[in-house]
Amino acid sequence: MKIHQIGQKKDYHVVAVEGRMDAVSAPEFENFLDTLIAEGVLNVIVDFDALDYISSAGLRSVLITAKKIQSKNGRILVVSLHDTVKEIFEISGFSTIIPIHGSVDAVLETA
Amino acid sequence: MAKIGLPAEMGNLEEFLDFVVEEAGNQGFPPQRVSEIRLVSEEVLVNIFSYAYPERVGHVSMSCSGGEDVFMLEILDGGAPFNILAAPGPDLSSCLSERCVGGLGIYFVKKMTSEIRYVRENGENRLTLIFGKCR
Repeated sequence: MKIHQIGQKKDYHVVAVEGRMDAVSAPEFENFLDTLIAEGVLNVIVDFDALDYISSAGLRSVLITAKKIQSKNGRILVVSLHDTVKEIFEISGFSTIIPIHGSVDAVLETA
Repeated sequence: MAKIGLPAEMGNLEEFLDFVVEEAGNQGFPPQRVSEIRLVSEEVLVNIFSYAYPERVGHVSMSCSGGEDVFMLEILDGGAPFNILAAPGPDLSSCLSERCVGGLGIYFVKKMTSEIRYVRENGENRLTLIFGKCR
């Protein structure tokens, strides 16, 4: 799994995740976002366009991160889900706590 | 029939999953379905790593076989009895806690596997997962 810092777009800090988020790599995602949060980043878009795979361990990390950000009144959005990853997010009902959008541009247009 | 056996530790997860992915790919399963098989395998294995052996590091073995349209995975561990078929499903309408996300893993296993068989014998859990080329 690789995490790419895309940078600041309008109000949001954009991060892209590539590869697989499984029980081994999920903690890395959590730690990466923890560092951003510690640096004061509070509005995050996570772009999953290049994410091929996510397991319940990955979902757990996304959930923990979302709750951390939301507890500081920040915002986290997830974009560009597709295929099995999209299905897994939908099954888990995460859209009730983490807004899901089609793309980074779609978020920025309404921002 | 290909086989792999390793200690039941997270450090071995990738090796187990690489094995499954290679074997399923060799059976001619499409990438999307191989990815689902990987997911199911991960959920079962992580469950074993986390809960089967509370007092010690135990062992897990996987063997697989298959034909053109079927891939069969057998997972054997000597840990605490656990029958995934009897495990309750998560409440999908209110799955907002981290603990609940683990229940999701079991749900994915049931949803993505064509047929599941479980038997407890000789102090071991024997879980058989059968995957058709399509769900």
